[in-house]
Amino acid sequence: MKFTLKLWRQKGRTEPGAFETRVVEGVSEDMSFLEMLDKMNNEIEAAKDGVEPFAFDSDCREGICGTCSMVIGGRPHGPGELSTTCQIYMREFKDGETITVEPFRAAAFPVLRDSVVDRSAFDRIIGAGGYVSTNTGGAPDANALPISKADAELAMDAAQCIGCGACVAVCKNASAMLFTSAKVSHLVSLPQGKVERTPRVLAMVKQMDQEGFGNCTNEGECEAVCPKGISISHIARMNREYVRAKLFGA
Amino acid sequence: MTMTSILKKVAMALSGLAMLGFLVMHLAGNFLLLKSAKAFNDYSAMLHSTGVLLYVAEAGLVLFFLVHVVSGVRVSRENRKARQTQYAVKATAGQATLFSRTMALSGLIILVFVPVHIAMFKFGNAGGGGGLWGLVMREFSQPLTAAWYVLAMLAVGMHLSHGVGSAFQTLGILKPTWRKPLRQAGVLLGWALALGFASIPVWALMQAQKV
Amino acid sequence: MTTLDAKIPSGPMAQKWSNHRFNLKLVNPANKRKYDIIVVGTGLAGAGAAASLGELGYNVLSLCFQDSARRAHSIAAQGGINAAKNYQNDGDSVHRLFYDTVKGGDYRAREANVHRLAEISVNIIDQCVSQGVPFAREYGGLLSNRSFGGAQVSRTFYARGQTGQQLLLGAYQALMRQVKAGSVKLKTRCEMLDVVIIDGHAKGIITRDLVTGTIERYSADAVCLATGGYANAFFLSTNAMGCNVSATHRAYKRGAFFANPCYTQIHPTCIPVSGEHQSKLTLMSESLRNDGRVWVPKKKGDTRAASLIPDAEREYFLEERYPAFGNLVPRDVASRAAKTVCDDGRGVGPGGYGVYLDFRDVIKRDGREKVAAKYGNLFDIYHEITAESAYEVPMRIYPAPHYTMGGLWVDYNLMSTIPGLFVLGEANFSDHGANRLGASALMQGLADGFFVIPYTIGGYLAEQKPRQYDTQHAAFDDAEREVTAKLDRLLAVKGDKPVDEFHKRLGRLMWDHCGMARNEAGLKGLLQEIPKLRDQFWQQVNVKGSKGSLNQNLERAGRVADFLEFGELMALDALERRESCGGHFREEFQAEDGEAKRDDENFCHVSAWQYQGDTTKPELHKEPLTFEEVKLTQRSYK
Repeated sequence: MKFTLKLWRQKGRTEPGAFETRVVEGVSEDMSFLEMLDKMNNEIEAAKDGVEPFAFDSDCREGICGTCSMVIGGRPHGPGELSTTCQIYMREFKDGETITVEPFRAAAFPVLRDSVVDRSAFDRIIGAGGYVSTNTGGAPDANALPISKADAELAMDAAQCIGCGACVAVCKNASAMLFTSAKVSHLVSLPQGKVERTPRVLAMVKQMDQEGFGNCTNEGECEAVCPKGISISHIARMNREYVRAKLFGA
Repeated sequence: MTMTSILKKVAMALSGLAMLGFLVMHLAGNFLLLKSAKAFNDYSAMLHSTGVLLYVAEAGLVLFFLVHVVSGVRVSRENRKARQTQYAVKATAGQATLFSRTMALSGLIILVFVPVHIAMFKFGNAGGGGGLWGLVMREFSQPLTAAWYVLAMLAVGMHLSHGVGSAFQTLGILKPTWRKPLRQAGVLLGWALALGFASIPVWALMQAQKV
Repeated sequence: MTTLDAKIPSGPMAQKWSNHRFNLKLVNPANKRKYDIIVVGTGLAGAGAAASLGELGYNVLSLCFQDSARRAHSIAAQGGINAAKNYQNDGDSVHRLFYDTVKGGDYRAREANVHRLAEISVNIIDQCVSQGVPFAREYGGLLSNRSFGGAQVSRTFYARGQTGQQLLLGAYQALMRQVKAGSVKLKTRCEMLDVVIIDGHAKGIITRDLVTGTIERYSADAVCLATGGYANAFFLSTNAMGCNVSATHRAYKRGAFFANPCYTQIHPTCIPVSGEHQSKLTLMSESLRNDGRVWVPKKKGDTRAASLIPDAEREYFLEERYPAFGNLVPRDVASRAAKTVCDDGRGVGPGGYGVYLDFRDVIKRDGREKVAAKYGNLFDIYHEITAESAYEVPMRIYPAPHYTMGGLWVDYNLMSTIPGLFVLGEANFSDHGANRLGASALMQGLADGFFVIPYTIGGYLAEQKPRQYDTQHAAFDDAEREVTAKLDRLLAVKGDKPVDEFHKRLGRLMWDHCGMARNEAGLKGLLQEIPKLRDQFWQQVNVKGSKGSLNQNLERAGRVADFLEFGELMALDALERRESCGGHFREEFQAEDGEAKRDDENFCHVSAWQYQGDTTKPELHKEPLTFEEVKLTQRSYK
């Protein structure tokens, strides 16, 4: 197979970027999208010219670490439901196709180089309150507090978030509501997390706003591209939690 | 005043739903036009006879309107700021609709429409025979006016078809299973209202053509 | 030869850890903030350590090369975490978990460490639940368990197929809480390139900021490495692309002994290689072996479709060779059996390196729906990668490097041979012996990070004057100069070959001669080949760009350069260990039935290697292993 790639090239955070067109030939349909980029980069590395390899983030290559982050053909993580970029295979593309590769675009995710972006805003949102304040040691027996299977499953549905940022990338407002709500919803589903429900939701939403993410306009694009299928019901739940915290929270 | 993203959206949802309630009553009243001039004018007179209550209601509506508009403008300004570089290839992931993408546009049309509408019928000259009913019929006998009204009502339909469901989501509807039915009900209600309102100028214009 | 002192506490096995904790010196609470500790890596061990040390009041710097602490490779563990809770009332106990781990490790682990691990396992589950880790539960609200990896009790706790993810997120959240509180400073996209030793103690590190390329110095009173394993020496493994040996290898070159580098674990159920382009191998959960039947055609070179091969012409080789355990034999045994049939020319799929894992019979017995409920998720992953439906045709699987039991040598306190340099999690050698049991890696990472290092580091720090040195010390100058010189050297080669080419060639060599089965001739050949390949690398590689910016090409080149040195150490250790044990299988040392044959008389020891310079053979030190509680027997799964 042969593909024409339109790649976003940008040397650094403050430098201007532009598209570069490259042709990749001899691609096997069993290659993953990232392996196709590996092949292209190997060719670039072997060439004795000034062109540098295309920078992209990737680590586990099995859809769980959340590192890979690209918008392929206008869709974060490319074609395919419930998958990350590393889980996309070339058989999903037509031979000869032109494929555009862009970084996740959001003011809160500055581009560092080519398709590599800085998603540390997510870490700061978690740092604002996305935890249970329990120090190591002194925890009661794990079975001391029964938790209904339904609550545990609901918590797990939300906790599956891999923090990739595709929800932000696809949202027309670059909103981080799906990410933030997944953590709020995970923790408030469990008795351990309920203790701090009020300060948590207030602090996390405040941090989310400060990072410069947009507002949620309830289109649901985020849940459509989420590799873990996290539902926007968690956003509704966070909204509810937030209003509850404002009205009745201590 | 600074408000967090969620509070702004809650303000929009509450004011929007309040105005939705008003629209339902407004349309019910409007249908009296079709019944007879007397029924409509009597209804109008009845409303005016409530005196101070009417002012309170009107003030409330103005307040909701302003809250909705001001938060809407702030939200969309922030949203534009949140993504400064646009994608070269734009695609939707399948859940966005034409109407969810054009909320600002449909909102803007309604924003222009509302003062024009109030000027026309609330402060218009109802003394030209037939009372308020007569004023309505005269205005809508102008094809351009009728067309502008129909267009504005399309904008209302567009706005509500996303807005109603969106408001419930923002307010944190209780069970995830309610999300879809509420969204569909919102679309249905929105377009029913829009078509209902649009039917008045169309009917009036047809009446005028007959004469 | 120096004698290695493991500092194993005296007293009966079950009391060693509690006695030791009492005997360890404490740092006064008011003084803790005067001590700086660096923790490299944010996986279960690193994040757990940084968070716990921060909670205690130490001044912690936590580093990772990933863009977020949440992305460390612990996240990819699927199966579960063991703990001797005995919630299922099936006869589990601390002693049984201890015993199973020592036996599973083929009697090459230190008893006292394993016992401590088993004791702590119960605290880990309590801790994780209190952090909000959503473990699977029964309808009554209590925690659910399953039996895993051939264990005869149900002691594995799990969160769907994403246990590692949930545990790591728990540790990450604890870490971010400390970052917010100011007790931990976190630096992401930052790679450790050297350890700084002053007066024989680890007193700092040199790093490269992967975004700006800046070389930075950090001083500390103690350094903890929690930098994972080295399975990527094989190029193709189930490890993440970024996993590397650089941190531990450079500590080794600074004097820390490296223990048992030849102990690598090959996981039996991975999706086979599909072509030259392949960048990593994907693990299919071991649970598939509960219902899938492993077979190959009896005839060599049989290219018929699986469905056209009648039962009489299939060899269900695990069931036939191991009637008692069947398809559920331990990882090393299953892996080797697959290799044997493939080497015999009976492998299936492109390239002939694969065996069938067939669900035909269970689908017939339980129906497709039941099978989908249990394994649907895994069948989907398989379909995504291979475009084949495991409901219709058997899966193809093949073993792949997965975990490395070897690592920097540490004593009972997790301190390496360099005072002040502690090593946690997969990066150390401590608890798994020659083979790790399923669902034990997560347990060890969290045990080291949450429950061991917070105590043992205090014992060291209590005897150190805080902040004795700063980054102006000459040792920092020297280390930084060396680091910079190495980066410059890489950039200066300007050959015409990509980095990956050398990594792939090294991986192929390691896999062929130091993989599932090793022999003397192969290993000797490998010891000849690796230096040649290394020379070629330094003559032909082309590293583009500069060192002063985000340069993934340079990052990879540095890591591959280290693997090209480290591979030799793996081969050397495999050559010197003239016995078979656990994941280390020497073809010369096998029983008549092809099983691994230990030599307890001559090799019941930890091999710890001391660096002697680039051109000199490292010196081997032996820590004898003594067994007080467990009797050494030949493992048998027949």
